[in-house]
Amino acid sequence: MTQVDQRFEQYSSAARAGEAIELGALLEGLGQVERAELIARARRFDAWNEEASGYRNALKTNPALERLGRSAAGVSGVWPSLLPQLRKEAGVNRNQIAQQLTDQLGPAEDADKVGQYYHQMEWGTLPATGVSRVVIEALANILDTDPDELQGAGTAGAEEWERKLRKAQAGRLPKRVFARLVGDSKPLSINDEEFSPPRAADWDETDRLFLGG
Amino acid sequence: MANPNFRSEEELYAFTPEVLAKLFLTARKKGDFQTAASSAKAMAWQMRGQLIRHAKNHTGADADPELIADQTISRALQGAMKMAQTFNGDAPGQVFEYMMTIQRRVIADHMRRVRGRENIAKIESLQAGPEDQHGPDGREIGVTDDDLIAVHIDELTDQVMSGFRASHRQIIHMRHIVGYSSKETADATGATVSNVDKVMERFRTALGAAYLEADSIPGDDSDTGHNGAEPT
Repeated sequence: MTQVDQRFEQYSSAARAGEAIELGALLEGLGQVERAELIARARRFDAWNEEASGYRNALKTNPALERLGRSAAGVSGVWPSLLPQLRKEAGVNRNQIAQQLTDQLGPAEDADKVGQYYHQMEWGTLPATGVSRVVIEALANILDTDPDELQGAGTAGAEEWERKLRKAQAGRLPKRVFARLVGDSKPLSINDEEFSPPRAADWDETDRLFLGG
Repeated sequence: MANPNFRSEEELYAFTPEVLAKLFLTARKKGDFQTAASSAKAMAWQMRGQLIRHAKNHTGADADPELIADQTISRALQGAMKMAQTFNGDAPGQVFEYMMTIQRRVIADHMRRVRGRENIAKIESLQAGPEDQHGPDGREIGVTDDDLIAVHIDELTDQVMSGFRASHRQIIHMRHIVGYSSKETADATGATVSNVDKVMERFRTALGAAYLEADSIPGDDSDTGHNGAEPT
């Protein structure tokens, strides 16, 4: 191990332990190139350490990061990340989306139920393969995006992933366990226990639009 | 490289994007949803800062660079989910280059939506344009001799690292940049301590050779040499 390695390790381990350490003292006695190498490594480490610290904080507080986790782990493709981004770009909130979606699907639809299903799309627990083209097109229209792209965002690798998840968990998706694993904070305020998709025999028209494909 | 070892989501941040990408693809292939979520989040956060900086340099005032970066990450994740179905276990290529390709499309789509047809020419020039000129840590370049040499060394470090395979780059990243000890690196990567030391020895030799090969190091008037650069 070189002298620069030793001093860099001293610097980085102190910083990772949260201890204040002056780089200047560590530069003493080094030649110019060695000094520059230590400066370069310390700067790069500082940048990395700052990012890592930001990441630790973001894991607890950043809703976008949590949504990304839901996208990676859920059964709605990247809808949990993408739908809020499209909403932001379109300047509408979740309640407005639910209302507009209900209006476009037809006044006979149950607005509360449409809102709940839409929430599940953002939450990552509604299998994207079950959402009908009618819903996709209405949503794409509201969010000013391409319906094929919107559908693709939900269904990318979704069928196989859902099968694997169900197999791994021997049956239906345990929502509360799922939510706990992908993040403790719940920036979206709906209570999951209130939502339970009915059996196929009990579906009404709204259920068919969101579950029947 | 053996499977990465980590005890918490935070620890995943010490892995390179390439290793995280492989971890994600493997997790999606196996149905391991916790690892899929954790690896995707760490990788996304590593990329996000650079994507935001790039978006700032390549979009107008009407664009939200953070939103562009987040949309890029969503699309990249979507691509990775598709990829996972046929993933054969090989280490993925350069993740950042892949993200840049996607971001150019996101920016182009954004411009089309916001400004319409008259922006096509700008989109074409963007696609052919240079990447942003920020360094990997996004810091301002200093003006002292030490700083100039440090920047030069930093560039050489990247250049030399890129010549190593992904599993070795991971070891070098942890030892040389994150500051892990040989044992910590070995524990995290699944390599032996002696393997870590061998990789680092090769890296130092290569870095030393790169110092010597460089025609001039700005401001370097010393004859102290570098510990890894002694000619044999």
